[in-house]
Amino acid sequence: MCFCQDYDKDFFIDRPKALAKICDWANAADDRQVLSVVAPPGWGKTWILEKFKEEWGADHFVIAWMHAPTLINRNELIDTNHMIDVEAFLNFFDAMQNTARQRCPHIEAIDPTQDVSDMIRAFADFICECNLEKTPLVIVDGYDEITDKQAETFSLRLLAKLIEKRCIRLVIAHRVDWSVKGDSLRRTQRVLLFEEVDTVSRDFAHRQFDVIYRKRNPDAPIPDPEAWMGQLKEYRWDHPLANCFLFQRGLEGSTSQLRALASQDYYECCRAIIERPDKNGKPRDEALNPHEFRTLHRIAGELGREWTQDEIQELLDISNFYVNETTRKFFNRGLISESSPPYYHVIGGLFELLREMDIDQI
Amino acid sequence: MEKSDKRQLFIQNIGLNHDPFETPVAEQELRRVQDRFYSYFSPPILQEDKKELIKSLRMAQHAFIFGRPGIGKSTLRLTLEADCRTMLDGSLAVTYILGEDIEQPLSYEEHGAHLAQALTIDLVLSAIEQFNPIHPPSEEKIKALESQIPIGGRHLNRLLRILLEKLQEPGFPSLDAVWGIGSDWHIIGKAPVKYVGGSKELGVFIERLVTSVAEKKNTGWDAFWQGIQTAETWGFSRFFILVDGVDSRQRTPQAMMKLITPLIENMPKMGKQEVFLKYFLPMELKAAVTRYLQTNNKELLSTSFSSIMEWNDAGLRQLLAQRFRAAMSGSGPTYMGLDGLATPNLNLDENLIRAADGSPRRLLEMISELIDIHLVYRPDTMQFNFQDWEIFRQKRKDTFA
Repeated sequence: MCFCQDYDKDFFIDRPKALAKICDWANAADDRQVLSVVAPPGWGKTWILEKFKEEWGADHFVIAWMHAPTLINRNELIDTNHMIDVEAFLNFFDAMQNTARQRCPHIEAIDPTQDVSDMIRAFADFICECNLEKTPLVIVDGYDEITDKQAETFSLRLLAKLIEKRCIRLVIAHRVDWSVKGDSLRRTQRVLLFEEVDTVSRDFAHRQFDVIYRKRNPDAPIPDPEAWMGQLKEYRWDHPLANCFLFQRGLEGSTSQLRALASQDYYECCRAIIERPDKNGKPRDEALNPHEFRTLHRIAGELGREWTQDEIQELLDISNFYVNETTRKFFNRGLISESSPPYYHVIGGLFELLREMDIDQI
Repeated sequence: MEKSDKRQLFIQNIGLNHDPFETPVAEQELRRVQDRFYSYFSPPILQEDKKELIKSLRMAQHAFIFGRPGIGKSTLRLTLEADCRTMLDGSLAVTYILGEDIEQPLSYEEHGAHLAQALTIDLVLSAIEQFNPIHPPSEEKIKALESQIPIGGRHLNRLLRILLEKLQEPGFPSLDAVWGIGSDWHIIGKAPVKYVGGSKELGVFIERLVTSVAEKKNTGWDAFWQGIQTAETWGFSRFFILVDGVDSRQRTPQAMMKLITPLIENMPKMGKQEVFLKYFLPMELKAAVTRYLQTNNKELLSTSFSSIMEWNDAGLRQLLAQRFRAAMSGSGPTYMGLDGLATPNLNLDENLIRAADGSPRRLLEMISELIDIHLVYRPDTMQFNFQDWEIFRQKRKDTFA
C-alpha cells in the first residue's frame, strides 16, 4: 500500500513543470553549482527528486543520494567535530565510490582513515578526471530535518567540498524558511520554488485517488470521489501528502464506499504533515505538544489566511514573534511561512485542515 | 549599566547573535565578525542586461569598479576573493591594498616588490587551504613554495609558526570547531571561507615552509614573476590582482592617479601573462582613468570591464534583510528590516532607505545611531517608536532638510 511519505513509483503523479525545470538546470551550462528545490513539508520534494533521478539519471550521472539525517549524529548538538556519523559516512562513501566507478573506472580506493572532508575532496578530484557529457550530480535530501548547527557542519565539511572544483553539482531539497548554510553554497545557488512552478490541482488529486484505488482494487471500476471530497469545506485538495492520507482514510473498511471523514482524521492528517512518519510509523520530526498544537489551531482559526506580525502578537499576547519560542518552532518546522511582506501564513493544506477540525472532538 | 552592555542586551533580546550594525566599514567588520562577514554579502540588484558583478569580475579581463565611499567596493572585493578561494577554477586572487601605510606614490619597481609579497601570502594561503593529505603536493611544488617564503614577510611567518604549533598537538585540540585552522587567517588580514582540517601531513608540510632556509634571490618584479611561476607549478593558470585602498589616505585624485598609473601602464603586458588587474576605485577617479586609457590605450578601454557600483531601494532592502538573516541564530522568521521592530505606521525601512541615498554604509550607520538613541530613552523596550525617530531626525537635520 502507498505509505504517503516514502517514494513509490507506482503512486507517482507527474509534476511535469517542476521536473522540466530541474532537468533544464541539470542539462544547462549554468554556472550555478547548487539547485535548491524548495517547498513546504509534504509537498513532494523527495518524490520529484526520486523521479528526476530515475529519468535524468538513466542517461546522465547521479552519483549519490545523500540523506542528511543518516549521515549526522542526531544527538550531537554542539561539538562539530563529532557531528558527522563517521560509520554511516564511510558506508555512504563506499557506495558512492562503487557507483562512480561504473562511469569512471579509474577511481582508486580512498583511505577511509582520513578526515571525511579530505576524502570527499579526493573523490571530487577523481570525478574531475572523468569524461562525462554532463556534470554529474549529488542529490541531498532531509537537509531540513537536522538542526541549524548540524546543517552548517554538513555544508562546510561535506557539501562545499563536493562542489569546490566544479566537477560535481548539488540538488538540495529543503523547506522555504530553512536556508542552505555555507556562504560558498549560497553564492552559487539557484532556487526553484516548487509550489510556484507546479501547483497541485484538483485534477492532480483525482489522479492520486485513481492510483490509490486501483492499487487496492485492481479489478473494480474507479468511483468518482468528487462528491466525497466535497465534505471538506475549507481544504482544497492541493497538498499531495494530505490528499494521499485522506484518500487512504476514506478507503479504510469498505472497498465500495468511501467513509465519511471526521475531526480525528483531520487531526491525524495534520500530525502526518507535521511529524512526517516513515514507513515504520516513526516520526521524522518531533510532534507538537498539545499546547503548541492548540496555538497553531488558534492561529489558523482566528487570524485567517494571511496575517501580520502585530496581529499574531496580539492574538497570542507575545511581545515579539521573531523571538518567541513557539512561533520560532513553527517557523523552523516549516509550518508557518512568509508571504509577501509584511504578511505570514500557516502553510497551505495544514491551514485548511486545522480549520476543518473541531479541536474539542480530538 | 554601560552603554555597550545595554546595546548587547538589546541585540540579544531581539534575537540576534551579534550586532550587525556596529562597524559598517568592511575591513573593521572583517576583523570583528570574521565568522559571519561573508554572510552579509548581498549583491546590488542590477538591470536585466547586466551580469552579476562577481561573475563579471571572475572573467579573464581587467576590470574597474567605481563607487562612492561606503558603497561596498571593499565588501565586493573581499567577496570576490572568497569566491576564488571556494570555487576553484585555477584562478588565484591576490589582494593588493594601497593603504594608509603608503605615503608616497610607488615607483614601478616598488609596486613589483609589494605585489610579490602580496602574491606570496595569497599563494601560501591557497596552498594550505587546498592541501589534501590523500593527494599531497609533489616535491617540486613544495620546493617551489619554499623558495617563495622569504618574500612573504613577517606576518606570514608568524601565521605559519602558529599553525605549526597547533598541528603538532596530538589530536589538534586547538583547532576551531567550525573553520579548523582557517580561524587563524586573521593574522594575515584574512577571514576563513571554508573548513580546513588538520592532519599530520599538513603539519609536516608547514614545518617545511617554516624551517626553509631559502634565501631571497629576486626583488621587485623579478620576485613577482617568480611567484607567478611558483603559482603555476601549483596549478594556478589565471591571476586576479585586487587593487583597493587607493582612497584610504587623504589623497587627492592626482595623487591617487599617480599611485596606480604604473600598474595601468603595465596592464597590457600583464594581461598577456594571464594576470588581470581588478581595481576598486573611488568615483572621482573615473574620469581620470577613462581619459588616461583613451589617450594611451584605447584597446584596453574597450576590452576592460568597467562598472559603477550603485544601489537602488530594492537592493538596500535586500541588503538589510540579509544582514538580519546573518545575525539571527537558527532558521525561522527573520526580520526583513526594522519595521518588524517598530510601532505600526512608523515606516522605518522606507524612511531610512530613502535617507541612505543609495549608500549601504550610511544606512547601517543610521540604524546604529537609531539603536543608540532608543537605548538612551527606552532601553527596556524592544520597539522603536515615533519619539526615537523624531530625535534621530533632529540629530540628522542635514539629511532630512
